[in-house]
Amino acid sequence: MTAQTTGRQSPTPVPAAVRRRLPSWFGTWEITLLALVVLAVALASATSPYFATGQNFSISATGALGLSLMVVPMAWLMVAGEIDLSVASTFALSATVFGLAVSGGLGTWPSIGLGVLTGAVAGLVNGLLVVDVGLPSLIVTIGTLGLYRGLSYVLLENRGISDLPPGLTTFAQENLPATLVPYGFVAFVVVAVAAAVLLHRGALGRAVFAIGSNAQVARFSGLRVGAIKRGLFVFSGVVAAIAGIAYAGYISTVRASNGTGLELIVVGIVLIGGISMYGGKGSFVGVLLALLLVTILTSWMTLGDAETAVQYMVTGLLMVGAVVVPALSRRLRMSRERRRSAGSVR
Amino acid sequence: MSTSDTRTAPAPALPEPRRPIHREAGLGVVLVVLVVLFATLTPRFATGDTFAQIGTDLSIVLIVAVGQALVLFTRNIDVSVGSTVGLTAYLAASLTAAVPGLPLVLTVLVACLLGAALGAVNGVLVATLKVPSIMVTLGTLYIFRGINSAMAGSSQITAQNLPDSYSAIATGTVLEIPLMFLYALAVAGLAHLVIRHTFTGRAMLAVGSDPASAERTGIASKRLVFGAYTVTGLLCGLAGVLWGARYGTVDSSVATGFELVVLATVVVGGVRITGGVGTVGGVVLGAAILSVISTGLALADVSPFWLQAIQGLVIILAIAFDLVLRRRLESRGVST
Amino acid sequence: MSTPVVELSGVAKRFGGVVAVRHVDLALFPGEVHALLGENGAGKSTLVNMLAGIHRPDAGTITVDGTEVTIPNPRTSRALGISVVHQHPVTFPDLTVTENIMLAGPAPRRRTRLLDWGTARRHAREALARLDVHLDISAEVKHLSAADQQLLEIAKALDTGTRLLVLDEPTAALSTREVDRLMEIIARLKADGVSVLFVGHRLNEVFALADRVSVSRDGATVVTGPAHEFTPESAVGHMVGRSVETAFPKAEVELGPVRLEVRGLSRRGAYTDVSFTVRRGEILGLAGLVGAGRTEIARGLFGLEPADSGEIVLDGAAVSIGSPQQAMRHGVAYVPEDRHSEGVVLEHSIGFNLPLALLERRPRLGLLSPQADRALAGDYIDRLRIRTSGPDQLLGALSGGNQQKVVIAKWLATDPSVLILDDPTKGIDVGAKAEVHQLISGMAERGLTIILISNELEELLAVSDRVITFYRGAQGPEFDRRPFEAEQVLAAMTGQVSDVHV
Repeated sequence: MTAQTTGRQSPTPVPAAVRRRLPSWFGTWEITLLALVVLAVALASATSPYFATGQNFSISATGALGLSLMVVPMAWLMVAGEIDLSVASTFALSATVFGLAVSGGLGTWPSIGLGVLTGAVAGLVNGLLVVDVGLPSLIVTIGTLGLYRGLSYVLLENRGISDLPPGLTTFAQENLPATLVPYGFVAFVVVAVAAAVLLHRGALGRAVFAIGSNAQVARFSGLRVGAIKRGLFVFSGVVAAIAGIAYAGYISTVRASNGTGLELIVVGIVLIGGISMYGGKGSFVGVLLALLLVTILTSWMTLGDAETAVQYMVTGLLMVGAVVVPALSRRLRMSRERRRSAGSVR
Repeated sequence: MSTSDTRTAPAPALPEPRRPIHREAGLGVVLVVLVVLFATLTPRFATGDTFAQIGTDLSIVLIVAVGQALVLFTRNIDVSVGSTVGLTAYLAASLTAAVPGLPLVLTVLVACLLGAALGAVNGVLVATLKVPSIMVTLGTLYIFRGINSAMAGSSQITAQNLPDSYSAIATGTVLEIPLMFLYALAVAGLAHLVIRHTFTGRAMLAVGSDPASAERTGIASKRLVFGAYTVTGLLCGLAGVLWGARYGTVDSSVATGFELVVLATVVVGGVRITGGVGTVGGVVLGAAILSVISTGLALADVSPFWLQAIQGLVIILAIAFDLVLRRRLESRGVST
Repeated sequence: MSTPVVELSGVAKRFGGVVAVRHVDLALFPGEVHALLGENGAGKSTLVNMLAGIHRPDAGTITVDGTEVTIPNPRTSRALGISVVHQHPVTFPDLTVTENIMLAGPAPRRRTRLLDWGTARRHAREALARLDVHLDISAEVKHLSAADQQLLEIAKALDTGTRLLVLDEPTAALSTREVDRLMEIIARLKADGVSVLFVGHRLNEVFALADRVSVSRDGATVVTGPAHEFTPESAVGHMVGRSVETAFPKAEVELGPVRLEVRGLSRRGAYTDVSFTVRRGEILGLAGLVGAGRTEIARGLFGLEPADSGEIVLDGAAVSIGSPQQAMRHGVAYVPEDRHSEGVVLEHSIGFNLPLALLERRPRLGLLSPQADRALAGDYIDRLRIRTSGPDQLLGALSGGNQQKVVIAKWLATDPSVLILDDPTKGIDVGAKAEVHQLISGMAERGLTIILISNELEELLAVSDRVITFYRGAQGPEFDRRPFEAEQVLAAMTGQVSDVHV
């Protein structure tokens, strides 16, 4: 069955795009972020003698654990074209349930189990409302943001629970014996590496990218779009619960106000990492670099006694930069590509 | 145009019959039911004082929500409103404190212009670069708040630093109706007129309904989006002045998290987050419903800790209700 | 002849470095229907957009009534008497019919600058009356059918000041009856002295209608002349620059045993009591108008919108197909109707798209091999002769025909036994169509069971072994002899015969 390409004397040879190829997970945006990280480290080390110390690394990594953990599922969700703004409220609600269970006399592990279950249910509710009822996740999770945070307040009012199991506080505050590496950091690295590999090399990650790019095409390709999205919301809830419990251990207190407003920082880091709000694009490596960048800047400013004001502004500028710079470079690239293809297509 | 020779006497503009009337009627029913419910639960509810309280409470939210609605109509969002209110509140209050003899009108004007300038920053970025508005405004949320913290530090401006006339703009009444409520109604009325009865207003909804079509029809989308953000900023400026006047104390954390309250109001009011659908009347009803709920719960001795949970629930119920209504309408549309 | 209403001379337009329109000369006279033909990418849409004021030409002139004009935006175009009906409806779904008509032109205002709704409604009613269309003017446009929306588009375009009406493939969403109505309207406009530019690809429509024909190729008008000097074949020849086969005749295949049987399949509001069998190696064509229920049947068989009742039998055993996953497990594959929204992810590569339908079979937490993906893509690029720079090329950069080959390859990679193709040559170039036909025929030769849906009757009759007709969700007569009688099939499709079984 050859030779039937009638009359097509010389099928215009498509130019074998001699394009330097970067892997999809490490492109120009990731390189930019890496450069910024290097720059930030250099500046911070130059201006503060305390920055480039193991002690500072240990402190920063311990403090950033709760935030870092929540970034992982948020990145996955946003690649799938959804968002979960209720994470920080789930974070508080799960810790609340955990704290109440502990003070009610339940053992450490059953209490943690109950807290994580709370997170899973919270995530499932989001998933059901988004996938099965068909509501937009942005609004649903603004609603559950209020609902879950509100429930934490209903349960705890203004009280705080401080008699937390010592095992938990050790995990959340201490380093591996004889090192400056916090336990929590090790846990995060394991989770982050697994999430990164699975997103960029796994079948599930491929499915999530397809769903975020075009959910309809994914459905028509036989992917279980609904089940995967529901699963991601549950994942988000579970991780938020673990993060919330770990954070409670870190500050040694459970309060209904734990982590208020954290959701916007989590979303901000994912956006700075280059994951598109519309889904289907981005790299987990970029997100990790963004997380690193924000943590470094925070640590640097804390050392330099910079006010929260500057932290806010830097975060904001990074976020605006994260959309404005690619938008400008896209314009440039598009006109350049047009010019190039014009040269080759006749 | 052939309008000059038609009937003169500019009779009140005829309302264009539109389907979503159902939706506002639904909100009205919800509001009435809530009022009746709270009135039976507690005798303290159905009093003039309570209604004045509700009217005052909803004013600031309503003013900003009207702006947010304009932005949402065009298929965009502004989550920086809380920071804009905070920053303008601080600037207006410190200006008044620093220049004692400054006429109030000038303070209000300066605050509105400042707010409009902040809104214009959002507007330029969103309209010209065509980047997702939530990312831009999430960034400016932090930037504006950062500027606010940098200027205010941990200082506070309290009622003692401000002339009495400043708080009078918020606490005064006309015929027992709180002034604040009248401002909010005036803003809403004007917005209603523009949205319902001008080409610009309809074109805003058109942009949100189908941006590509708007482009091909020659509607100046960029200008409308820019305008919506600038007006929202301006209204945030007004709200900032009122905030300081009402609460008397202004620090760097004024209106933190306010964007979520505003979004809740707008969504409950039936404005669709994906653009093209909504009315100013709905936003007014949304603000009234949320305010009645919070005041009613407080009077009915429900623990204030329930408030946030219930508000969250109301948002979810509101969009679920909207969806059900839409599906019903659509299935009816198919069958005819 | 009199002065042209609108004349384009030497018009050119480039985007960045890409030349979309190289050199177009076109004179449009009053009372004349002028057809503009060309393949995708021939520059037709850009030309229309320049008349509509969406793009501005880089070179050349546009004159209206002999005076040179510039058209900086759609409103100016409209004010010059040029009305454009775009290929896809330019409507605001959340606004009412009145508002849609109002926003298209100068809106009536009162002295107070507020809108004059009374006049706006009168205008809307008049605009619809001119077309003899009956729509509720206060209905939101999203509640209208696709055909009504298209008619609204035309109503919007026609006002008393219209001198030139540009119709860009206006018949895509319309049924035969509505196309007939459009033809009447065009005839009436012509009699009123309006000039009509008809941009199309359905040749029979064009030749029924046009006074003169222009063909554009690679951004330039290559020939213009009276319609009677063209035949469909010569027009296609000009379009592609050589003579081509428009359809690849199907090879004779020895049919195998019955692979798929459908008994009394029904879905409320879509189709009722559908029964048929298809054998291995057979190509079964489903004929019908848009909305006859064919796509819905296909989606029922693939589990996307499962049937309410009836039986699906595969190799003699009844199976239940309630989801695409179940369908795929039974070897059923579906190449959907809308390539861009259902077929491929445009912003990803061929290597990304090709294995998509295989993902469901892989272990959820398992890893993929990029090398294997690229090898799979490379294999299908060779087998289906997909013209591309390689597995890493983005789908968005491929032509429609090559995108469609990727969709087909995506499903062939799952090694299906039943392949449902829903309008597989929609919107692809004439030359590429023959290749797709050849591909389909080749798959049947290898023993696949194929169900083919097409809106082009000629294609259906050329490629199918057997054709079943559908009319408004009901199964009509079946034609199982080649050569087919096109008139009989057409009559059955339009509901004019119900009992002739050939």
